[in-house]
Amino acid sequence: MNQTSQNIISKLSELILGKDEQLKLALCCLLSKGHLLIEDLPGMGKTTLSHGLANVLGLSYQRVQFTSDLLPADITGSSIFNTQTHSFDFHSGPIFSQVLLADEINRASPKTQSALLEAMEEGQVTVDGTTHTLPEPFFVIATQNPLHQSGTHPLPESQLDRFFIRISLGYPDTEAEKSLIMSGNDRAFKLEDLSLALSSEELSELQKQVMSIKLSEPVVQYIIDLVSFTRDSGEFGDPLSPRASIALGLAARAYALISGRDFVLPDDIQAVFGPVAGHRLNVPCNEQISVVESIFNRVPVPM
Amino acid sequence: MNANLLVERNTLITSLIYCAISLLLFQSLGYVFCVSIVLVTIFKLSTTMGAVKNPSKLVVNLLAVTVIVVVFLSLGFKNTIEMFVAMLIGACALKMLQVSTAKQATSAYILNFFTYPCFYLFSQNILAFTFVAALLLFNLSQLFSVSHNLPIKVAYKNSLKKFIFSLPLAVAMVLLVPKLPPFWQLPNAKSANTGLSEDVDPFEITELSRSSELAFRALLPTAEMFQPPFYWRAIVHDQFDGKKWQMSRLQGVGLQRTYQPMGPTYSVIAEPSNTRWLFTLGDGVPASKGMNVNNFGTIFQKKLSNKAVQYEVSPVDLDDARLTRWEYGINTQLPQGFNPRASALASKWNSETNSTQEFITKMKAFFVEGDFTYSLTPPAISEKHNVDEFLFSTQAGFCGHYASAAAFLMRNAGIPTRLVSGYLGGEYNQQSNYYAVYQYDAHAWVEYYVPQLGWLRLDPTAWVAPNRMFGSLSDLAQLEQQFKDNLGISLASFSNIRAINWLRLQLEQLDFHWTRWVLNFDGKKQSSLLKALFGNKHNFLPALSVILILITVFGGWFAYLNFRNWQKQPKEIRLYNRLLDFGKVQSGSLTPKQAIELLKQKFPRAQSELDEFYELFELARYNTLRLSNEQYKRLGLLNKRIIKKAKIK
Repeated sequence: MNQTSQNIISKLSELILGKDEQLKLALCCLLSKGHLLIEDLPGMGKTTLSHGLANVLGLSYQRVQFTSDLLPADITGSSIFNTQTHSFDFHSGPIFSQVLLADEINRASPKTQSALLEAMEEGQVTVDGTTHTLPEPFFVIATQNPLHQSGTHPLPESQLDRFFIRISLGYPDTEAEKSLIMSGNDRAFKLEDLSLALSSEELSELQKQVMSIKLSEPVVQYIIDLVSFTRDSGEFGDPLSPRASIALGLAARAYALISGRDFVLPDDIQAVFGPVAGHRLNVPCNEQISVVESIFNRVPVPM
Repeated sequence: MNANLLVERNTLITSLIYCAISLLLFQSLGYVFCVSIVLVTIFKLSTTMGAVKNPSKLVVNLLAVTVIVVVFLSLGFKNTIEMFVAMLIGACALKMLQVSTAKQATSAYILNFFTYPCFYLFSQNILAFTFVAALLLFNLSQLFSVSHNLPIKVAYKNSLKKFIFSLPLAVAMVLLVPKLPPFWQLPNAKSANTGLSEDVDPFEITELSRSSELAFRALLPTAEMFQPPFYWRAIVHDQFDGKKWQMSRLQGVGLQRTYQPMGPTYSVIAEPSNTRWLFTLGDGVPASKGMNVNNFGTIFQKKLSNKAVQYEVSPVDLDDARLTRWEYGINTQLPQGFNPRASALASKWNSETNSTQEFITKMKAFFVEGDFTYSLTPPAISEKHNVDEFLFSTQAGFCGHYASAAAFLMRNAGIPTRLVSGYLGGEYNQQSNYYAVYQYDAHAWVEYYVPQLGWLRLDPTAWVAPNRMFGSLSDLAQLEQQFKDNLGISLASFSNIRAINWLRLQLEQLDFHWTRWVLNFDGKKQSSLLKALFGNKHNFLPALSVILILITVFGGWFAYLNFRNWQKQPKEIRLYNRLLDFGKVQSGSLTPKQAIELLKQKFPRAQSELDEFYELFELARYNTLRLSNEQYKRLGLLNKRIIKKAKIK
């Protein structure tokens, strides 16, 4: 495994116990400059994970708790009249940070959701005709509750597509849960400890390295085969778009980098396919594994 | 084009085709079934137009059960073939209601290549052939259309091209591939054929409905012995029960002796019929396989076939110098207590005359001088003393009446007599030099025995209607109107319009050649053709060599394609595949890493080699590095070593 990423993951796994695979995927999302969606029941460690990620990377961090009465201006900020200068001053909202944690994004009204998602896509915010550029890197970690929970507005398919990867933490195993109980609630202490495992120069260096990972012809063919299977089999109402194919390639590269290789294996594709494609295919989290399995079983790995 | 719309249109057309087929087979499949298919088609039509919703699974299943019940009730197990064909058509028609995706439609169209040719079970003439061939061609284009999402017109052009390209191959296969006997046979479909029957009871018939269907064709050599009138013998009725003339059971027994042929052979192509009995001019023995001749001079098939049969007849004289006692007994047998007036008349003539010839003269005088008329629509006679009634009161009838009355009178006088039914006449086709005999040429006459002379023919109908003896009934002007009224609508009924008669003869000739050269192209004809083509060598050698050449060419081509694909693959893939084949691992959905893991579990001894092998494989395959020759050598070596180690148990 790549030394830097090894470092990050071991630090994070002190915080989130026994979830190395999910941590790898979250890091993979970060290295690909994509946004992360964490879908889980309350109390599974979503917020802890996003907090930890921001701390580890040494990035400025803001958190917005989404509620049904949250307005777009509450995120982007608004212009306020300055009586001394007799002009409008722009007061930036929480979105002007490097890592934005959008907690329980599906509790907000669709209007507020789209304001956020637009900013995610464009990297800028326009308020009262003035365009404000967001800081670099800009990374959104959104958490969402499973849709069957009351008081949720599901994200539209077109906006789900903006999230690079969707992961679900799931329940910890017995060992991990035991040590959680033993240690009590000393999360804050550990978060302090985490800070600055990675400087922002190192981060952008890693992000550059992702693009130098080799993607060989048979692997690209495998991506194509998987994507066209979702289009031709007729089993999926929302087949994968070319944006999804690009994301698959990118995620696989990042995954290979984290695994310490400078080329992508079909196994990398299989590792990232579920998290990258699951939400784009509109597959619920709990069915993702079986659906992905059935796709792998029917699409041969090209030689 | 929208795929769903295309499927919809295609299935609608196919439904209409099923409807047409079942209507054409109306006589065999019955009207109840045909009506239900028409209803299904109407249903399909209305769903396509959007008037009715697409049926649910339940509705289609209910319809299927209904059709099955209809088939059982209207056809039953008696006519197995009709039943199965009806089931097939019914199932296909219902499938068309249900088809919604191109995949379903494709499988239905593939099945059609079996369904359409079932039409041949009922008819094999040239019209049926053209019809089915056109259907198959169209089916091919529909298959293309739905499976490749092409408009029907484009698909039709494509399939026509493919059809034309494959035609020479098909012709070569038919001509050259040796004909094997069938592995299994269907029971014959009952052909709804008029024609001769084994029992004759003319007296109850009031209207002889005659059809213009072909009975058989004959190719006669231009020898003196074949001169009109042509009496084609078919069935000999030697048993009379007072009502019907029947065939005795002795007729199924074949003759064992060989006979000296009296002249050149002639060939007959008989259309399918529901009896085994075939046609000869006078006595003859068959020179073809599967046939025999009985003591009565009738040629019969050993097995009834529903195809046209072609056979050669060599004319012989079957007569012995004298009748045996049992033959005499059969041919003079009469039931007691029937027709007292006719019996009395016969006894009176018998006492007045000294020879058979004189007796016949007396009888002829009775018919000619009496007020007898030839009629195709005689009054019905259903009384017990039917011959009395005919001779002394109605005095109108057709050949059956005269022949059976004459035979009755002669048997009463102790003259061995039998009733013969067959055909009289035939239409000569000058271009192709054959005689065509139709069902309306059916005739009945009498044969009587004279010691030293043998069996002689006597046609009592000729006394009353002498013209009937020459030419076909269709030429007989006197009865023209009556005859045509009885024919119903067919081309023959318009034979006085010149153009239509010409057309009829041309069609007839085409069908003759079709039957002779295509339908009856059997092993014998094939071998003579092969002889003509390849000289007088072994019969099967040329055919066998053609097959072998075809197999080698195709096999070689496939092997070459495979080899080229194989050669295109880089070495590491070939080695990897060899490992998988050796370990019997289905690589399909496994990544190489997973497959190698599986192999490691199977062959724990070779683990380290497998690891090294995989490392090199990964480098070459996914790291896009070109391996050095050394590394390739190492790869090959590892491959061998792994297999070697794995073999040790």
